[in-house]
Amino acid sequence: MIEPLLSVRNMTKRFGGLVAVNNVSFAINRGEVVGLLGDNGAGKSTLIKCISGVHHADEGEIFFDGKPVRFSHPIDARRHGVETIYQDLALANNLDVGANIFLGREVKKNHFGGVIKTLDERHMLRESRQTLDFLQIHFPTLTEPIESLSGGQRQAVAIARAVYWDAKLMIMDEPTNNLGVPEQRKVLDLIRRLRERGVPVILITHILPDAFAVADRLIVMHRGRKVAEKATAGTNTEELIRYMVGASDDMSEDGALSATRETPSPQ
Amino acid sequence: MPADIRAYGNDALIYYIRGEDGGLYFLKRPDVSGDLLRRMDIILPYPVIVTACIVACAMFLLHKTQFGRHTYAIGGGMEAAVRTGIPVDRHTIKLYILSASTAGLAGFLSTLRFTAGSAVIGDPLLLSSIAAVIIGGVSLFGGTGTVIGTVIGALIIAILTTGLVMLNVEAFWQFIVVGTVVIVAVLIDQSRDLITGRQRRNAAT
Repeated sequence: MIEPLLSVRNMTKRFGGLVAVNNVSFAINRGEVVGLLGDNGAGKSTLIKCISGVHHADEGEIFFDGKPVRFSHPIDARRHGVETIYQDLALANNLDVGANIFLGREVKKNHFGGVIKTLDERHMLRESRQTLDFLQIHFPTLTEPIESLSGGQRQAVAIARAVYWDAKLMIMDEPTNNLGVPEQRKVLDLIRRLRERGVPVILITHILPDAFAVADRLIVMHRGRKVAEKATAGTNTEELIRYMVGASDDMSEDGALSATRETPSPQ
Repeated sequence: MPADIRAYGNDALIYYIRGEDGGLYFLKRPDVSGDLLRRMDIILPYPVIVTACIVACAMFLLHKTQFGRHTYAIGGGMEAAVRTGIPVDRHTIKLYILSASTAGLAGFLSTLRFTAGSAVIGDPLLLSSIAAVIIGGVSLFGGTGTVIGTVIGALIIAILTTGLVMLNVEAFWQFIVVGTVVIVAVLIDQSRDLITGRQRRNAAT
């Protein structure tokens, strides 16, 4: 059996008396899109922040690429290849597409034996264009501030940035929020394209149609606990909603963590 | 809070520290002999050239280097800059140092010109320099602006004040005119942000 790229074991995160993430375990395989579902406050975001280094889990382990890891800082996680795209995208709206893809990691040219370093704009533009072509994203111009781009296009820039910097695992927090319908479709297409490249994606969402459209597997959380894990093909909206509102629960105390366990029919 | 406004606040703090007499004195007389000053005089007739050098350096720094790119990035979105690993605090400190150095150079030139120093000699220039920057298209909220725009802004202010002097307008009124121009420029700046903000929201929904 192929080892999963990321596996999280028995992760717990408490904020004071509140248990935000309660003993959650799951694994992500290469080239797979996993939807992380749950109502507001179910602990999806906290779980993701524990993985991407924003929070530190109180208990539990993370294995990335077969090795135990502890990300003390988001930059640390990124260095390992875990790219998280939050809803605010972390883009500088006053800069152009190329500048944003290389933000904080600019490529420099040396002059006079390294005394003076200037930005290698041409190189960065060329690389940006290649990455965008690769992802089949088309912008009329790459040298305008991205302020003038639509929400979906900016999302695409953020995705392209992650891809260019060799993301091994992409985590996306509600990427289709605040987007028009055609834009949503484009973002979902991008996620599929990432999967074709073998980059697994964790898609956080509470929009079920989105999850059904792209995810291979779905993990449902309710009040900090993982309550279900299903193959997308083997479930339906009604069943998922039952899990999301807490009406059904596969992972009852005794059988917790047995992710592969067959579930009784919900009817 | 916009950085320029904060800097203005810091400036007020320094005023306070300056003491009740209303004048900061040199703690020690600077060891600049009249001789040295006189030799320095050779650069005095060429303030335009000195300015041009500074402008060229600033343009290079802001538009061609990583330092400049990070400056824009921080202005455009602090959050994004932090998350992409730009050392925001260190960068901001560097910017303040740079600003203080150019102000120091200006002080040096003015000392040469008047062959006398005072801590308050540049005070009337404070309003003009902020005005020049804003008229030149630098946003008070950060992220936009060019060096050349600032130069043009400075020229506009210089032409304005020189013209007013030529028209025999009192110094009192000159301040008011410059102040009015600043207010108009800030209003335009604000409305520009409002307009783009509205566009952004429309695009989002």
